[in-house]
Amino acid sequence: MRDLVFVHGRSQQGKDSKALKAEWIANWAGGLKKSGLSVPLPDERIHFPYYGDTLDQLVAGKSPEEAARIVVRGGAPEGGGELSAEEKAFIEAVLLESIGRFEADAEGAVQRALPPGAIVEKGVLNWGWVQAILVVLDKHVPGASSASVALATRDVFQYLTNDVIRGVIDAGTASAMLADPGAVLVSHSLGTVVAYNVLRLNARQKGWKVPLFVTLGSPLAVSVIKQKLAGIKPIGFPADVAAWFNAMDERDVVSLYPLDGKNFPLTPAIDNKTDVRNDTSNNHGISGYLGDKEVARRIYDAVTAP
Amino acid sequence: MNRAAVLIGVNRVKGLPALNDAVRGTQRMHDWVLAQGFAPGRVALITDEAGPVTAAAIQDAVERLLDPMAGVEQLLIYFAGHGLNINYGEFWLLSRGLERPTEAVDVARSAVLARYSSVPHVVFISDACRTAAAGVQQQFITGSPVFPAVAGGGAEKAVDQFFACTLGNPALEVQAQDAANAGTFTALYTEALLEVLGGGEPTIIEVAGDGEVPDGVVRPWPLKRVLREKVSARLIALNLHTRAFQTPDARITSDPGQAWIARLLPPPGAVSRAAGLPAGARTMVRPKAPGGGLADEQPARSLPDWVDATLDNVLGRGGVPGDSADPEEARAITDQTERHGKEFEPRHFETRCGIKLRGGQAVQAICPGTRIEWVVEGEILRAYPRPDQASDRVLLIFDDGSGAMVPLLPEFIAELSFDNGEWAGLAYEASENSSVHDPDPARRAARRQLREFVAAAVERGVFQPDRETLAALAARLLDAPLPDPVLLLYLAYALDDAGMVGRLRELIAQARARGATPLFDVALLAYRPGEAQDELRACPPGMPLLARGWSGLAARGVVLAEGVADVSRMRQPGLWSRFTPAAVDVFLQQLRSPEVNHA
Repeated sequence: MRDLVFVHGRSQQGKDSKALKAEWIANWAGGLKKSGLSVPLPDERIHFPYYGDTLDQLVAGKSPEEAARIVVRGGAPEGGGELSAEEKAFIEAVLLESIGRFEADAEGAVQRALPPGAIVEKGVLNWGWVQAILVVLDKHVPGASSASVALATRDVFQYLTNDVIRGVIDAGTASAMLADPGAVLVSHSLGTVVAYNVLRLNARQKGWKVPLFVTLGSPLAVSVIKQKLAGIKPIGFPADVAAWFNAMDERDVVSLYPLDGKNFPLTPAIDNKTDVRNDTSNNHGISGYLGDKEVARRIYDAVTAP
Repeated sequence: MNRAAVLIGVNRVKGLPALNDAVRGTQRMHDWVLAQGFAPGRVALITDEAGPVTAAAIQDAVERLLDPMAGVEQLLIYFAGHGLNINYGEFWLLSRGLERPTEAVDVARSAVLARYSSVPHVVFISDACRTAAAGVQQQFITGSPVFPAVAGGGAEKAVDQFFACTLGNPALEVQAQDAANAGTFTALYTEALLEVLGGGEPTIIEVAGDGEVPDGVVRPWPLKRVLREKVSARLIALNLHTRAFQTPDARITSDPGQAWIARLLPPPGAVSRAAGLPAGARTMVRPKAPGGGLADEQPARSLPDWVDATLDNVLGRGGVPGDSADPEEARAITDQTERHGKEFEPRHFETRCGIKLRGGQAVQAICPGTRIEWVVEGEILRAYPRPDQASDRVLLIFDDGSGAMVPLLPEFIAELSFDNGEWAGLAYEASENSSVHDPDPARRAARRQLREFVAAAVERGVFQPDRETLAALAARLLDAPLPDPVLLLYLAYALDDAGMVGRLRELIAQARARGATPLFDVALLAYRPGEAQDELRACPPGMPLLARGWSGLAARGVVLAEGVADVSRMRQPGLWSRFTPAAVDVFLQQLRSPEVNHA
C-alpha cells in the first residue's frame, strides 16, 4: 500500500485545509463506491499540502468572488495592486484560447460581443476586448462563471512568474512527497501545474518515487502556460514518475486540451481520458473528477498495487 | 541532455570578398554535433551553398527549437562568415547583409533575448571578424535578433559567447602552404575549436559525475583558455610570412562547475572539478613552436591575458607577470591610463558640482532642470543643483554640431577627456570641498589609475575579469566614501557579461544606501523585463552612456522618454554615446524652455 498526495487548485468555497481534505476524500469515496470499493487508506496516509493561504494573499485578503471581479474588471483595487501589463496579456491569451473551443472564429465572436459604439484601441492591452471575451465565454458555458476562469488563470500566472509565491507553494508540496516506496500523486487545476513543476524540478535529485501521477482538469497544455513553464525548466516527462494519467471533461473551460501527442507530446506518452462527465457548474470542479468511476478506480489501483 | 544547434555558414556576402572555409567549417561543425548525439531533427544547417541565407530562415529555425514542448536544454548557435563590429556590438553578415540593413544577425541583442528564452544554456560561437564597420553603408547596418521577444521568462538563462578574435580584430582563413593543397583555405578558429571539442586537449576534459554517458566534459572556461593557446600555436606552426595574429575571446555567464559544451570519454587520470583547477584559472602554456622564421620568436601573451594579470597585480591578487613578452597593445593601454589618470583643474566648485573638459571644447550647454554657467567658456561649467536634487543631465554640443548627454551628479565634477578631438573618456571625481572627497592623495591616485586602466581595457574590448577579480573590484569600489560612478558603470557591464546580475543589484543597493544614484546603464543592466521603468528612466542621463548599452535597451524592451527613442540610430561611432547633429536637433526640440548657455 502506498501513500496518497492530493495537490489542490483554488477553492471557491473558502474552506480550510481540513475541510478541503475531507471533501476530496469524500469525493474519491463517492467515485470508488461506483465500483463497490471504499477508501483503502487511513486519513493519515493521505497527504494534503495546503497553500490556500498563499493563494488568498494573492488577492490581498479579498474573498475569491470579490477578487474575481477585480481580475475581470482589471482595475486597481485598493490594496490589491493593479494587474501588470504582462498579467493582463497572459489572462487575455488564455481566455481567447478557451473560447476558441466553442467558436471557429474566436476573434470575430469577440468583436460581435463588443457593445455598440465600443472603442477598440490599437494597443496590446485592451481590457474592453477581454471583457468581450468573457461575454462570449459566459454565453457558451452558462453558469461557468467566466470570472472564476479569469481568477484561476491569474493564480496560474502568479505561480509561474512570482518566485516568492512559487517558492512557498513548491516547498509545501515537496514536503508531502515521499521516496521509496513513494506516493501516488493526484492533482487538480492549478495543482496540476504545481505538481508537474515540483516533480520536474526535484524528483530525480530527491529520489521521489511516483508510481502514478494523476492530473485532473489540467491547463498544462494551454500555450502561454507551456511557454512560462518552459521558462522555469524545459518541459519533459518528470523523472521517477512511472505513469501519468490525465482526465478531463471536454467541456472543462480551464483544462481546454488533453495532454496528448498533439497538445503536450512527451515520451513516454501520457494516458488520457477525455470522457469524464463533470457535472459541476463550470465542468471543472474536483468533485466531478474524483467522483468519476474510472478516475477513482485508477487511483485506487495505484495505491493498492503491490 | 536534450541539445539542439543552429549552424550557419555564409561564404559570400554581396559586396565583400568570398570566403573559402565558412561553409565547409559549418559542415564540419555539423558532423561534430551529430557525433555528439544531437538529434538530427534538432539541428538546423543553414549555408549559402543552396541559396542566400536570410535572417528569417535563422529566426524560423531558432523559433522551432524554442517551442516549449521541444524541451531543449542547450542550444548552440554557430556562425562562420563575415562579421563586423558597430558601436561595440557584433553583427554577422548574411548573404545580402550590406544591401539590406536588417540582413545581419545582431549578436548582442540576440544574446540578451536568449537570457529570457526557455533554454537554460545558450552558446553562441562566432568564427567571424570583429573589425569596426567601415564606410556609410556598413554604419547603416541595424541587424536582426534571431531570438524572439521575451517569451519564456523565468530566471535568466546562461548565455556563453565565443568569438574567434578580440574586439576590433579579424578572424583568419589560412591557405595551405604545401603544393599538394594549394588553394585550400582553413578557418583557424573553427579548426582549433573542433580539435578541442573532439578531445584534442585531454588536459581540460573533466569527469562530470552527473550520471550521463560518456562522463567526460569540456567546460566553457577551460575551453576559452585553451582556444587562445591553440590558435596562437597554429599561427606559429604555420610559419607565415606576415605578423598575422588572432586571439580568440569569450564572454561566459554559465556556471563554471555545471555547464559543459562537449561530452567525451574522459582520459585516464581525468578528475572532477572538485579536484581540479578553480574556475577561470589562468595558466599560460607557451606553445611548442617548430623551428624557423617568426616561430622562433618568444610568443607574446595575449592582450586579454596581460590585462587580467595586470589587474590581479593592481588588486593585490598576485598576478604573475610570466615569462612571455607583453603584447604590443599593452603600451597603448598604459599610456592612456597615465594620460587620463592625471588630475586636472579645477578640483572643486563652490557648488560642489560641475563639468570640465580636457583636450576638447563644447560650444553650448543645455540643462533644463538645473542652473548652469560657464566658468571658462567651453571648458569649465559650474552647476547649481538644489539641495534635494539627486541628479540631472546636461546636453553638451560640440563645434561640429554633434553632442553628448552628460550626467550631472551632486558632489561630483564630471571630467570629459578628448584624444585628437574624439571624446575618449568620462570620469567623476568628488569636489574637494565635498564631504565625500577622500583627502588621501595616494588612495585617490590609486583609484584614478584603476578606473582609467579599466577604461582603456573596456575601450579595446579586453576587460573580462573572472568572478574572483570582479569580487575584488567590487570590494575596491565600495572602499570609498561614495562609489566611483564610472567604475561602477564598467563593472556593471562586466558583471552582466559574467551573468552576475544579482551581484550587480546588490552593488546598486549598497550604492543607493550611501546616497549615490546609479548611472542609466548600470540601472539598465540590473533591470528585468516586466519591472516598472520609471525609476530606470530617472537615472542620469536617461539613456545609455556607453554605445553598447543601446542594444541591451532594445532587447529588454525598455522604452525611453518620448522623443529620445528616435536618437538610437543617430550616433557616431565610439565607445561613448556621442550623437549626430540630427540627434542634437531632436534633443533641442525635446528640452523645452531650456536654460541655454552659449560658450
